[in-house]
Amino acid sequence: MSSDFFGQTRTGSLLHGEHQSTLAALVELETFTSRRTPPELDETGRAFLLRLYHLIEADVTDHFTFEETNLFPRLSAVGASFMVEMLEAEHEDIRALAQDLRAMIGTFLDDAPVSADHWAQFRTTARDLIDMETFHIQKEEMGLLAALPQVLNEADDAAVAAAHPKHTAG
Amino acid sequence: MLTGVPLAGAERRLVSAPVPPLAVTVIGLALTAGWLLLAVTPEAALTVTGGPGPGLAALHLLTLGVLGMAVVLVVPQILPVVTMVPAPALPVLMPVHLGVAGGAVTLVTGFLSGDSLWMAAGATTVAGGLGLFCLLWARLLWQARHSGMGDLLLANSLALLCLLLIAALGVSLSLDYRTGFLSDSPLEHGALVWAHAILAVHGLMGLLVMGYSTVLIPMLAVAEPQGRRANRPLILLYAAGVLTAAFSAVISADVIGWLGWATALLAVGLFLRGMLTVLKRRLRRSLGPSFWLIRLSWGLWAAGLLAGAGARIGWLSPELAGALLLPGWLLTLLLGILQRIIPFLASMHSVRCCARPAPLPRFENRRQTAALSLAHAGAVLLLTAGIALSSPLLIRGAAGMGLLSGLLLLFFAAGVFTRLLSHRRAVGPRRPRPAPSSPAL
Repeated sequence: MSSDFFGQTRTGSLLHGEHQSTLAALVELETFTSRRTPPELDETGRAFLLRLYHLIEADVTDHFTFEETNLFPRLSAVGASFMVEMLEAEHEDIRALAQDLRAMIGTFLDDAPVSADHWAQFRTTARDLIDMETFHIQKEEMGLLAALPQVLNEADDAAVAAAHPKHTAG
Repeated sequence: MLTGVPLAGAERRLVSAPVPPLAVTVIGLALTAGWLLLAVTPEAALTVTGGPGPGLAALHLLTLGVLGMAVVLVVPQILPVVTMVPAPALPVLMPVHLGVAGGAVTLVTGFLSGDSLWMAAGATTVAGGLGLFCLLWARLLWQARHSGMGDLLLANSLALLCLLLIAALGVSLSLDYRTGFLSDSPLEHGALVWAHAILAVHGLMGLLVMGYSTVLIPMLAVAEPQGRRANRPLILLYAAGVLTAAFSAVISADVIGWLGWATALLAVGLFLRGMLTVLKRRLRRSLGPSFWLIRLSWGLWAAGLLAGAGARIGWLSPELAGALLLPGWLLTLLLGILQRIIPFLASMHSVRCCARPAPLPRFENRRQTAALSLAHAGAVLLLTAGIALSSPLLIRGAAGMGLLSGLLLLFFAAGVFTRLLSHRRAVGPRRPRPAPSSPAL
């Protein structure tokens, strides 16, 4: 990250990195769903869907839970409940869409070929998820990450960053 | 880095809920009325610089009714959101909006009827509204001085200076229509008209475009922004060029005018190169119809500046340069931004007024925005061709397309508002939340 636009904290850098990965996956998803007709799921297609399945899971469980547990209470405590309410509601909407999409991916991986009806439904849900998640990330980058330097001092930042799944997983 | 800016009370960074829909309605109506006027009197587009008449009336519906209203909506709303300061309250904003909208209607009536009393009354009312707006704008800039948004604050401050000069010149020109007082002074009415136009189009609007683009373009395109002071030299260079050109118009110094024009053109070129770099680094591949218009507006900005040079040396008509700059560059950019900002504001207001916020994609309508974008682009193309070829038929065609774009904007905004109301009915109004718990760590 070369710009100083969103402020700099270790926690913010971790979240920003995850946002970049999610957005890159959404671009791939957008490309994957650009066809109106169902694709034939070859090795590459199946590998992409499997990766997407795990990435969505990581996003809506690890990433969202990390923010809700470690950051949102701090923001609410300093009076930024307006921002927190907005982000929490978006998490809820995205979780529901992600759950639908993951269920559909599971069906595709188990029962190829993909039917036209299922493909149309998948495209619609994917489009909703892309729109919703992109906007959510925009908002977090400009609101949440920009606000972190004000709610995390250096010690808090180090402690919160250490609680991030990236550091606790191993 | 943001330092010392209060996070509490983020809801106070939004203007009062009725302000955006009312302002957008005025913008849509002024846009529709301006094109309608041109549809009725297409030859007016060829004689805008000839003084009061339907051409000048249509021009001021566009500059004051559309662009002016957009400025008094965008600055009090976007500046507080970005710099985290409270937005101006409704009792302060309403006189500004009423002054600009009411004054614009009075002024346009004056231009249409040729009655100088209406012109002077309209210009004075607009100047009153803008005078109050200057005060609240200055206050916002002072409150935001520690926000760290260097480019945005610099561009706003310089734009504010231009607005003060524009208002002073506008009132002088309108009073001169009534009293002829300029004939007793060394200043010429025509020279002041040019200075007024340069400061309005290139000064106020150009600087606002530069400042807000540094924030809005990366946000809308999901792209890595430039540094917060990355455009400082370009903004200063551009402002120097525009002020030099305006001053040269007043004193009729041709060489100085060319110097100002070249300086501004260089700054615009470098600025647009930076914006294209931002877009190249975007993470969202598909940007939608709004960026058809935003990209088109960038091309029209450069084309309009070059056409302005052509008009200066008599190769092209001033009306052609004006068409490329006003309905071209500025209106194209505004319509591109509005189709993204209107749903954004609706989503933000849903947090304040609904039990559960509504996500932004629920307010978007790609078909309507695509139709709006195509209608507007068609109108600009036909208008430019119509003025270049002096063809009232093409201008009437442009007005028809423009009229459609105005109606589509109103329809789109009404759709967003209706969806917000439906969402509120479905989830209920907002209720106070329990006190927040302590942080987990």
